[in-house]
Amino acid sequence: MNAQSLFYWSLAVTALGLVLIGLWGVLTRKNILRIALAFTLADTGVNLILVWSGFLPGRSAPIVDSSVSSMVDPLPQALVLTSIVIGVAVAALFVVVGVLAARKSGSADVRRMKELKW
Amino acid sequence: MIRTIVGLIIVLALSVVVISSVPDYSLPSGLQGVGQDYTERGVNDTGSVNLVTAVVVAYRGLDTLGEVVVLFSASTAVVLVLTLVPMGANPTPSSSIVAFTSGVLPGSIVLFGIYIITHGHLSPGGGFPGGAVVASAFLLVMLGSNKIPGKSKLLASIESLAGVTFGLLGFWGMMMFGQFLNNMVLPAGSPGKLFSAGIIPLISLVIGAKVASELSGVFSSYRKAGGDE
Amino acid sequence: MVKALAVFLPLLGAFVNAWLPSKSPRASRFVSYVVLVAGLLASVVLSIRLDAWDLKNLSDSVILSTGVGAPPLSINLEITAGGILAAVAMYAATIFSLHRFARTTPKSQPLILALLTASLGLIYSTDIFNSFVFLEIGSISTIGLTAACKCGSRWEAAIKAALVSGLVTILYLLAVATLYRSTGMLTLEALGLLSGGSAILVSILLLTVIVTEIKAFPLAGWGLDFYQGASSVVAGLYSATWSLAVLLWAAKVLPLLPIGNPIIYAWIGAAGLVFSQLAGLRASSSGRIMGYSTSAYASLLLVAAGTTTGSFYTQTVIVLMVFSSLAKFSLFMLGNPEKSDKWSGFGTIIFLVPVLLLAGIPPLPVFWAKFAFLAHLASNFPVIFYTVLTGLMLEAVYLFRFWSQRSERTNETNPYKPSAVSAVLIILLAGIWITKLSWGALDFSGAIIASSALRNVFHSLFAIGTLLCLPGVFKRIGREKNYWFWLLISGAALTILPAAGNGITFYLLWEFSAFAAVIAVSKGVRASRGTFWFAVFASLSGYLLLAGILLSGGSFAIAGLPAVLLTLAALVKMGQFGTHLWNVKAYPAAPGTIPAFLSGTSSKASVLLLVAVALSSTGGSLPWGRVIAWIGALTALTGAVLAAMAPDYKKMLAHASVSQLGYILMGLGLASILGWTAAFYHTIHHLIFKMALFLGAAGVLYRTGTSEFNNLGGLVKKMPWTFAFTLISVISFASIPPLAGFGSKWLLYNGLVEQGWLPVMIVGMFASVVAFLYSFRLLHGVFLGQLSPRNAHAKEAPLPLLIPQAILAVAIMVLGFKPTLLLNFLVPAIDAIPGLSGLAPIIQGDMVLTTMGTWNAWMVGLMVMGIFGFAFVFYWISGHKPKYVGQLDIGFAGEIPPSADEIHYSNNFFRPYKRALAFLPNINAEKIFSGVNKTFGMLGDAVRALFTGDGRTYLAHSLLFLLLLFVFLNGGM
Repeated sequence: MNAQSLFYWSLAVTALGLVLIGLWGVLTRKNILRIALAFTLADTGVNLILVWSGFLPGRSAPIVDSSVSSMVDPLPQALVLTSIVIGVAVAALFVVVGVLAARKSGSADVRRMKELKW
Repeated sequence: MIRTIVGLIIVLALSVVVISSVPDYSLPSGLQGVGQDYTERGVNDTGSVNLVTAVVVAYRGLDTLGEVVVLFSASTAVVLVLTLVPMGANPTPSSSIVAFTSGVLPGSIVLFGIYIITHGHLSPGGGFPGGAVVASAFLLVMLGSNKIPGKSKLLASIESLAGVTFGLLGFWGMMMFGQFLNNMVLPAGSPGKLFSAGIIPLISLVIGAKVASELSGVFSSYRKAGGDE
Repeated sequence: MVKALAVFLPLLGAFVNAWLPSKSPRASRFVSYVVLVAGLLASVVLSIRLDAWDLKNLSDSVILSTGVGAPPLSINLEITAGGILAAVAMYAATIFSLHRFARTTPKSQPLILALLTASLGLIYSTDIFNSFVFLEIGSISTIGLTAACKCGSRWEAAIKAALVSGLVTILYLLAVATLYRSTGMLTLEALGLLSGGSAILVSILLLTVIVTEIKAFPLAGWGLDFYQGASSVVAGLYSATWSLAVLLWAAKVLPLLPIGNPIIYAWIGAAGLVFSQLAGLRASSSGRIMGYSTSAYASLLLVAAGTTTGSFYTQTVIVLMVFSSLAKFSLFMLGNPEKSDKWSGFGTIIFLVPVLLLAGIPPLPVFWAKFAFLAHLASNFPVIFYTVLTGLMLEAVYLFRFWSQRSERTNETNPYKPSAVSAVLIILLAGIWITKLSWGALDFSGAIIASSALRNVFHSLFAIGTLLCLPGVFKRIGREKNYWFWLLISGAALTILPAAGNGITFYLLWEFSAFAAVIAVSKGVRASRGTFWFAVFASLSGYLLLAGILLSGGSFAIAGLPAVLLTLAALVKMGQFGTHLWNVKAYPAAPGTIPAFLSGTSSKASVLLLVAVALSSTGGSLPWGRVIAWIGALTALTGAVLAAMAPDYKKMLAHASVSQLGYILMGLGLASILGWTAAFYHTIHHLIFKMALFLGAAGVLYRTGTSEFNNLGGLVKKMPWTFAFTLISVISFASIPPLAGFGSKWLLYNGLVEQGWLPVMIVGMFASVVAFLYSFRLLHGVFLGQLSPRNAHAKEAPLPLLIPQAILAVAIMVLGFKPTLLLNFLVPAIDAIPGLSGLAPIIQGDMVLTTMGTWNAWMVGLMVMGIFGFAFVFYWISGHKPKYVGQLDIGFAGEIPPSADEIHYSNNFFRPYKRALAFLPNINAEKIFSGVNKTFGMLGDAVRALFTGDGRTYLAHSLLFLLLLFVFLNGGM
């Protein structure tokens, strides 16, 4: 494994790590806003993985000037653009609903939002 | 405690699942699949030198339309939900630094945002980033002011108009070429020029306007409902 | 252009709408309606162009291409015929729900339109990332709508939906990244190019996403909470648009997943169906019940994806999902917990249609899809078939309980009218599809019962029985509602029943008749418990019948297991051996002449079924005829004992009815010519006297308002004609010679002796003795003894009830004195059936000869009449005058009677016998069934303990499910 591929795979591991930390936070945090943060974290990780899936070390941004052959894949970057905006939109709504749910139940603790069950 | 352990176990097991399904740890040799196609024919097909924009606006324009709708739904939902709850208290007065900056900077921020929006097909940027930049100017103004922002009909009109334009551009392509959101209803021009790349600049503009107005709408709703009861 | 309009018009409308509400709410509503109606029209045009209403090639499609170039570079929307049908339903549902939103949250229209856009996009999209975008639009609009519409737990419902949508986003994008890195493409077809580790990873990620999104067990927790917490308008719109879209999208993606053997879907679905429906039994909130039903349909989808392919798969999925979603939509729109529930009789029916639809009752379209689907499972995947059938049965139970609870809260106000219109729309749509689906499937050639003579016997029994119940339908008491229509429907279906030429026709008519009767029963006062038990046992017998028919490949020509199932179906329908619970609950609850119809006429359908099974399987002999005869004998005995102890007139008749049907079973079980003659004779006889008795009871109830023995007695002076007809019936069924009952017993015992089945005969005879006890009590408790003061003003029963009784009484006389009129017709028909053992009775004039003896009914009748006349004259001449005593005139020395009930002479009438039987263990069917109920309840509790209500638990479920899938696929592949 040479240096380039080490760099390449360590990016992937970092991104995956972000996802897993985010998921761990989602599963274990009690405060609804922290869960929102954890989701954002995981979302960032997933976006990085998306970018990574079209990334090639040493190549340039996909803007055509002269060197057509040495570009990275433009598609994942396009996808990630969409995905980021979607992430923002979801986070905005999540926070609003979370805050209002917390106001309703008197605390931000998700364990107290168990009126509906069974 | 149990939750922490179970959470850890699940997360670790997930990492095993993902890692074990990686076929090999070699470096990909080059572009594959549609990525290669885009780099080869992107400029010819769309007239945009920025291939990311070409993909975002032209090839996968439907995704972008959908994305606009996502943002639209979220901002509508946020505004709608927050109008249902009682208003928060008056915001605390901003510091003099913020107040001063908010009077100076917004103009140049908006200009920069517009630049990013209009040059989306030439350089990194486009409707989304540019719109977000413009919205940040709005945010700054809002932070600098001590008043709760009123209902902005202008924002709603821009948002609505931009959205409708996007949709109609789609139908235009449908009418001309039988393909929704076809890029070539306007001439491709010569790649690299500001007025080139079909309807890409137009759509960038529309997206920019929409994103800016929607994010601003969300900010102002937050501001209105913010503060503790 | 039409394509683009059908898909994107709501989107334009949403954008326009974002600006309008602040200007003018009316303008905004107007724009929404214009956009929706135009979109609906465009969809309808497309659907006609695709010939989608034909339901033949639902996979046919037109392509709407977008962007630049062609896939995989750009994105295509594939508008399939199935999808466009779903789209029509979505548009219609959105249009119908709009006015409700306009009243509560007028500014929500952009979100509604966005939700519709997302739903349309999702069902048409062919690109995996594009689907993701639509998924997100859908989740966001759902969460926004939920949070915006005022309702008790909306925040919690919204936050749970948001949590799940967050997790789904992450898993989905991981799958997208993996897919793209492995194949370089994002079209759905690219899923097929995956291999090795990435194939497994993408499969488990997407399968988890799908199972979570469609809310199939075990990942249904959030969906249940969502349905429970969201306001009914939102939940209704959601189920008709977004939920449907997700299901159809899942149906599209599931076959493409590179998972190896898709049978795993079927197992997840089948197991999930049973477990979730067990848990559903315990649900009480109506929203949650809808959630469980959604889960059931999601599981069905998984089963379909695992076991069917091609156009059959598409058709099954489209019909099941579209109609179940519409049904849920109607239920949510009708059942509006925000307002007090107000139902008129009409409303109850409007409410019932969607429930029947969800439960898959014929002739509604879901039934046809389920029938074909189950038939497919029965012949290819038997174990999955049984599992699915069990799950569906459980679902039917709680749906009917749901309905009976809801219809209990009746008030005399109109239901919400526009929603009623939407239900009517469903019915219309259903009508088109019913004709499409049923075309060619039905057969009225009468091939099941080959003998036209026997067929005619049943035809005329059903027709006459129904007709005799009709005159009295308007003599209703108190709050009983109009039931004549359902009586007529049920009777009509019964009358056609003998002509059924194949299994599906038979099943259809059978269920049709049963559920029309269920509705009729529900019209009674406080009838919800009775209706519930009736519905449960009716569907139990229906499912047994269905299983039997399907396992024998749509016919009755079978032996072994299918025959047993069919026999069981008949026994349950008869209320034999423990299942009499429903008779005892439903008859007293049923209004007016319905008990007469159920007991006299409708119960003969099960005799018809037994005859059909016997004729088809081994030419006359029922499987395990001896077992059946024993069941009949024991039921005759226990039924008679229970009848003797019953405290209520109608309850006693219900027990007696079950008991008398036992004799028919003895005759059929014999599989001899004599036995069958006896069985048919008794069938006819039972119809006559039981109808007369129940019509008499209806008259008594009509005049006195009660059927409890404690409040009756002494009515002979007030209602002499009713008494006379009841007396004739009682004499007849007590088998006292001159009347018809004697003949049926004589033939039966002859048959039993001929075949040497003496033990059965002894039990049967003993049961006849017990029948004396209750027949005496019946006469005495109601008509003789002292008149209760509360009935002092009672009058003779009205003519519409009396005249049919008179006709029946005459029939009993004729049948009693001239049985040969009937036997001359019956015996040759039965003699012609191959395979029946024994000798045919010989008929000479008035004489009936068997190997055992002779019976001259005419002579016997004359003799008995002579003796009776002599005794009567003797009594009359002797001039004894009875002493009249008031009902409460009792001379206990210094004793204070504890309550009026206990001093009434008919209270605990047979206490000495009860005491004598006290050594027997006190087993009673109600206890057993409530035990069964409790067991299921405990199982259900165990299952639903999974759904803790903590949003994070649901996320953990999804992740654990994913890990399990990984382990399973790696172990299995």
